Amino acid sequence: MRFLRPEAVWLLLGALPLLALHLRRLRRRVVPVASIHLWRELAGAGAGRTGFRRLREAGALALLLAALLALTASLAAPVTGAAATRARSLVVILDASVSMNTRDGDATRFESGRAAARQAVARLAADDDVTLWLADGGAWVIAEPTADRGVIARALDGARPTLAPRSLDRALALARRALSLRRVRATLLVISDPGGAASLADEDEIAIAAVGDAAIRNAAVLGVTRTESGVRVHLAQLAGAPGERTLRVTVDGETVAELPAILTAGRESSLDVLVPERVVGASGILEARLVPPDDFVDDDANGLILRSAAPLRVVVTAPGAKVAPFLLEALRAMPSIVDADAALLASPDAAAGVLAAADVVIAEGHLPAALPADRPVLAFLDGPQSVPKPLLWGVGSHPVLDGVNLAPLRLDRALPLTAVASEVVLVDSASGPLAVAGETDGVRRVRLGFRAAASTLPLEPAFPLLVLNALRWLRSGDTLPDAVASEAPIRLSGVLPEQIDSLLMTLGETTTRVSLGPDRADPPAPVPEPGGARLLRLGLPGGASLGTTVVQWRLPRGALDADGEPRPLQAALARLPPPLPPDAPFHRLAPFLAAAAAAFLLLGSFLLSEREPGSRGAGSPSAA
Amino acid sequence: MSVLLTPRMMDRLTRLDVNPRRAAGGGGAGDRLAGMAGVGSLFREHRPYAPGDDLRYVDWNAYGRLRSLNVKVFEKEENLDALALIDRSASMGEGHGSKLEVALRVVAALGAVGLARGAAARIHAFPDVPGRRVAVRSIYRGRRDIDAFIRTLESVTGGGTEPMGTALRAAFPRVRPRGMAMVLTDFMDPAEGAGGWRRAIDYLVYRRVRVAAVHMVSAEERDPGALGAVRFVDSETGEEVVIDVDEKMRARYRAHFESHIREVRAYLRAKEVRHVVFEAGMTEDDVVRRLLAIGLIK
Repeated sequence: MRFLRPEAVWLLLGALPLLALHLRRLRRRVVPVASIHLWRELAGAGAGRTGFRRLREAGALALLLAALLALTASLAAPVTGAAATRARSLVVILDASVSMNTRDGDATRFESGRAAARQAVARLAADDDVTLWLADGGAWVIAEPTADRGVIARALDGARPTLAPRSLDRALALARRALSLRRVRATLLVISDPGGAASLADEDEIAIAAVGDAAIRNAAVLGVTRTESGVRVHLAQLAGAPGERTLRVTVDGETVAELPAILTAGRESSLDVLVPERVVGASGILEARLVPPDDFVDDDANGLILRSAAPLRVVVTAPGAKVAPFLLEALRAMPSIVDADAALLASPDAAAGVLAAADVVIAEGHLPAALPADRPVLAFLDGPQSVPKPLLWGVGSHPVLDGVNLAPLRLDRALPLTAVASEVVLVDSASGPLAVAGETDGVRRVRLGFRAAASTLPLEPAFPLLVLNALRWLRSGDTLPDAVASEAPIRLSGVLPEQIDSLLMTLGETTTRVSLGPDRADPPAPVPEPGGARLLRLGLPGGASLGTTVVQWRLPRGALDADGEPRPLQAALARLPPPLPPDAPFHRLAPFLAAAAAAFLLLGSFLLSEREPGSRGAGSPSAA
Repeated sequence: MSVLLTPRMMDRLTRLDVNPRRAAGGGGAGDRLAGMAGVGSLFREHRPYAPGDDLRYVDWNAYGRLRSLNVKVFEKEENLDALALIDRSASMGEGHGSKLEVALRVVAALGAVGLARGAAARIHAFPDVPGRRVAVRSIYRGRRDIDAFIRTLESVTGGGTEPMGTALRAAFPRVRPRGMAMVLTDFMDPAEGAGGWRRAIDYLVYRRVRVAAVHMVSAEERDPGALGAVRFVDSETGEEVVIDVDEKMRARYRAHFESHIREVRAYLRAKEVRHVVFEAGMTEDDVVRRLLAIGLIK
């Protein structure tokens, strides 16, 4: 049975004045008398007996209250039969958290959950209403209570999973709150994966359905960083046992490397991938992807934008701006490294603005007076302290000397140098270091204590290689990070900032352009994200691509829960109210209750009308 | 208990006399002239001899002179051993202005007059109430006992709920009524039944005690006023009755009460019991005036 108008219950407040009147009736002024038998004779033998009177008054009150109750029930329009269960309500809460993105076979868990929701809705009668909630970190109503199946279908079709953590408890609480405000009793159907279903307690009014396979496997490419000869790919097995996976590295879609991915359950690993020389110097998007895809495909790939190998702009200073020809020849021999045509020849007293325009300053003789402190320098130094024919007795190990054979090197004179703590001695002699290389405050410098013309170096094949290595080493001193953690700011400095005008930050499918502007000293604020993805692209003017990007997926361990007992969908659907036949009869009880109310009222009024003696007429039995 | 009679009233009362003719009679010869022919020592008159008269009372001196037979008639002596049966139940009330006070005042007045004339008086207050027994002497006789008599009456307090018939029947073996008995009560007990007042009156009449009944009423009993819906509580039994006393009911009750008094009087009269009505709140002057009016004292 149910009540079509339950708001009629407010009528029961009418019991309060009835009780008040009854209590008032009970209280009468007490008058002691010598004897009541004269009064009793006057009023009649049966009247005034305390016990009977009280019984009569209590009975009258009970009948009036019963009449009120019956009247209230009648006005509340009770019905039995099919009407008692007609127009039921179903509330579906669909889990859209990150774990629902897991793929089981041909469909993701979310897609399976959506199909389950459709199945549940199809079981209802035509006038039953459905409310759809989506739980994705918060809780949202995507379809308000409606019996329109088209609205429900469109809401389900448009629902998408997110990368947010699970929030079924919150969604359940909000759904219950909404039902209490509607004063409706409904069946709640929660559709989630095994982990989400296990997080909910069994309750009579809640049917819980778990979709998806409890056992999942997920490996992720955490990040890609540059190395000298290629890239380093960081991997992790985040869920399940590692399977046979292959790491495929592509540059602009072209596969440059494929090799087995070594994964260990519960541990992070890294894989160094050699990238061809031609690719290293190129610009484009490098992607490292695990194939075949696992149960969670969104974190199977990562990548970066390769650094653009733009030629260096150099300024060569020499006394009188007369640069040694072989130095110029060496510079011209490396067009991929140096834009020789754009090189500036200047004297050592060139203005700071001229020198500041260079990526690298090459100095012959002595360092320019106005050398900016942040310019890398390759210096062939000379001075009055030069010593003739120094005895060379050591060559250090340094990237500048990679492949350079200095054994035949002979120096006419050389200026001994003083190596600071951060510098490495490249060439040592009995007179002291003659060549050093080092980085101070982020600025790299190579200092040779001799001029090329004062040595046999130009005659050696090592000379251009030395210059090439030095320039490469000097150029790689920019501080653009190879990798950026999701919560760390990006610091830009060195030669690249002028070429970067903005950052494109992509979160999921949303891309936001962050302009660097004149206040580049202010790094952009970190973007908080709930374990999602971030793609950073450095947008450059003129279409040139430069810089390093990091695509990082960091899905927390356990985000894809694999634990939980099976909660079959059919078992959950079986707890929903069964469909009703369309012509099921029902019965209205209001007329019967109204008749009962009238009867109680008549009886109660009759008992109350048996007034106290004193209001009767002459027919009183003991009238004088 | 308040002072029943002032010294002024006492002095006045001792100069009055009881009129036993107006009271219910006793059974034996006594000191008081009954006002009736009978056996006694005071010559009253001659009357012609009738066959059967006692020859001892023939006046032979008169025969010698008149040569006709005449017998002497003497004044009958009354036995004024009066017993006052005072109803002190809860319905009689207590304290100043109550029916009990007036009843005690009536007994005090009559007792003062009678004792001053050499009569004997006894007091019994009923019902017995444990802890409130009235310390009475077996008999008060003569003028010298007037003060004790009055003090005894002034010590009577109210209380008790035993019906009159039951209380007196229990008391009579100890308090033997003889001569004259005066019952002072409000007749609010049921008339019938083992405890009814009729049984008590019948017993006294059966014992050939000359009984007078003083019916105590109160103004509230005669006319309760328009009280509205009230709960009457019996002062003796605690029973309750809820009655709406409007003007109509009030008139009916007044008539019923008067009818009750008439019923009591009718029954008593049938038993040759004198019935007088006294009202609560009567002062000593009211009481004495009333006693004079109805002829109980002269």
